[in-house]
Amino acid sequence: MKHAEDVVQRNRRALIWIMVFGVALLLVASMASIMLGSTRFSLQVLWSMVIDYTPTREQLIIATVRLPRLITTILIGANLAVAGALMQAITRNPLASPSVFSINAGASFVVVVTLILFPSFPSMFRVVSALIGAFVTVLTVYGLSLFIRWGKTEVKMALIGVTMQAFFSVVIQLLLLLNESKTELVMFWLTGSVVGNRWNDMQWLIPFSLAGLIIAIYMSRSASVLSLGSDIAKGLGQRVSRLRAVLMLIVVVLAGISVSVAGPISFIGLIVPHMVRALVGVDYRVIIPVSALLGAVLLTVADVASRFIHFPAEIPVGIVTALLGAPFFIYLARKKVVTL
Amino acid sequence: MAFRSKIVTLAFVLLLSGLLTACGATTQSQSGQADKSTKGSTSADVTVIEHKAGSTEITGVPKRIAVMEYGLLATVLSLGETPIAYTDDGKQDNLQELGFLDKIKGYTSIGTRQQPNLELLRTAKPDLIIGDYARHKDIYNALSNIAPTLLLPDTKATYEDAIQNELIIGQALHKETEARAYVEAHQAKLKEVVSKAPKDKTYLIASLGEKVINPRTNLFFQPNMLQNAGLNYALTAADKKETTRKVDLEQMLQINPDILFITNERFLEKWENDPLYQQLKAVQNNHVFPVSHSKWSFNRSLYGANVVLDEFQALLPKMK
Repeated sequence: MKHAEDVVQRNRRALIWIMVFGVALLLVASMASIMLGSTRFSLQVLWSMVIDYTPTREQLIIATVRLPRLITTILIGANLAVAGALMQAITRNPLASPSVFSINAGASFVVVVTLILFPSFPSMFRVVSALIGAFVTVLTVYGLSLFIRWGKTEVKMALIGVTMQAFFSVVIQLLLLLNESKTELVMFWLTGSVVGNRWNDMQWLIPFSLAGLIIAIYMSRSASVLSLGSDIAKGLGQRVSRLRAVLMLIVVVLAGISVSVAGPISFIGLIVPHMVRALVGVDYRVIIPVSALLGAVLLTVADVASRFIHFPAEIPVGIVTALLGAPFFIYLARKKVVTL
Repeated sequence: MAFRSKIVTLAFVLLLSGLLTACGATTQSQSGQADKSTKGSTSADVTVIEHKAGSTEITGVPKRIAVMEYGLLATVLSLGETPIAYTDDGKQDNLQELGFLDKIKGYTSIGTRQQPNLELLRTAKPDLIIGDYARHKDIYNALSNIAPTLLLPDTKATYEDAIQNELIIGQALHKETEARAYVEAHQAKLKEVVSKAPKDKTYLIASLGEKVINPRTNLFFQPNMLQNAGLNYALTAADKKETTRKVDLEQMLQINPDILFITNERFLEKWENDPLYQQLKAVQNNHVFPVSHSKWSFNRSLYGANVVLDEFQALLPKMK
């Protein structure tokens, strides 16, 4: 007994250190995100903003461009990482992420359709269409998986998800081909970008993200149980299909709202939960909050990096995450033992 | 063993497909040669046109012309010819806005600019095809099998390219004198308009997006013309290929032109609400001019350039 308590104690201490380190990283990345870019700001400028805010050009850039961009990035990084962690718990598939279930693609598809057909619709409409797209896609994937008699639900859903994703990307290509003059508007969004978000673009992102993240943390215990497999979860008294539905709904909200603001940013939902599991183990009560933290750090760092790839032009941050993510995906697929 | 036999099968399939494509290619080129030789011998009226994808022999005066990009369409129209087929991407709003729709009434739609429908093109029975080098160079042979084909720069055209396009198409249509006159008239017009424009001001053309602004660099067609004519264009390309750049207001404030032409006006309201936008010099001096996206962004031709110059001239009193 004594020994077990020691282990718990040591784990808790390690966890605290990881959290402290993560928060420190996030602070450093946030400072970089505010200070670096096509115009560079010194600490003095930042400080002068805190003590005396006057709308000079420098302060305006920080207040209206850099700060909202930073907060958007942090929220979306957290959303995607948590959505990925939940997906991996639901499907028990280490390669799962919102994109594998084609949630991102489904949301993007509906958004692209509205962008092309009704270009002047307000941004609220895009939020609604992204959420509808994500939701309908999940329903379709789940519905189709019921039609297939063999195999486990989670495997079938992943297979159908990948198929749907291929389908959506082809249809998006087709839409762009037929509406070439609008490609310039849509393409940048489609690669996943946080550029140009202002405070009023965040009126939907903030409430949806916070609600989603908090409910995800609240449900993390059940996610842990589900990740043991549906038979064990059933044995432990969980109503598995209802639980799965609720968790999927959280994923839909987190991924949908992120796509509506920044387009489909890839790989964050895949990489981060894995890093987190390597750091803190298999307990989702820990994995989910730490994923949110590290997701925010990773996307913020990627966003800062994206500003210097083709300076001073803006390169979509989705390209940076893809550059990081693709090799990581191959590494994961090659590694044989994966703990969930 | 099973693995090895699979490899052998795979290699066989690859070999077979390689052979088939090779055969296909030879038959194609043979028929191409046959075409050329018969034409060369039967008619004395053969013009050889040098263009970006090679040289093409044209027999007689082409009357059924198929065109596959906006700027090239405008060039053909500028010489008084009416193309019989065009790649309209399945819709006519841009043609309407550019004022071409009435001029090419009754044309056959032959698919999209990106992927022209070769069957429709063949059934339209053109005697000359004019395509865009950047888009259509990979299907040059297939196009040449349908009719003599000229590939000229359009999507990536500079101002100098547009002048050459006018002259080359003029030569192909046996309207060399008209083409030269058109070029000269245009150059006179450009000189006149620019002479009235303020020289101490910097100019920028940018297309608005919802969250990014796309300022055109000096390599983009319309800026290229203005810069060549002696105006001070505000954004110089970072490399030889950069025709447009994606930026936020932060970078726009660094470019900070005196006179700003914007396209995609429907996004203007959103940007106007931004306090940083109000910091732009052009905004403070009331020198932001919304212009048509199709006219100031497509239509890379002398015809299109003249339209831009007309609008530019009309705005001159407001630039002071």
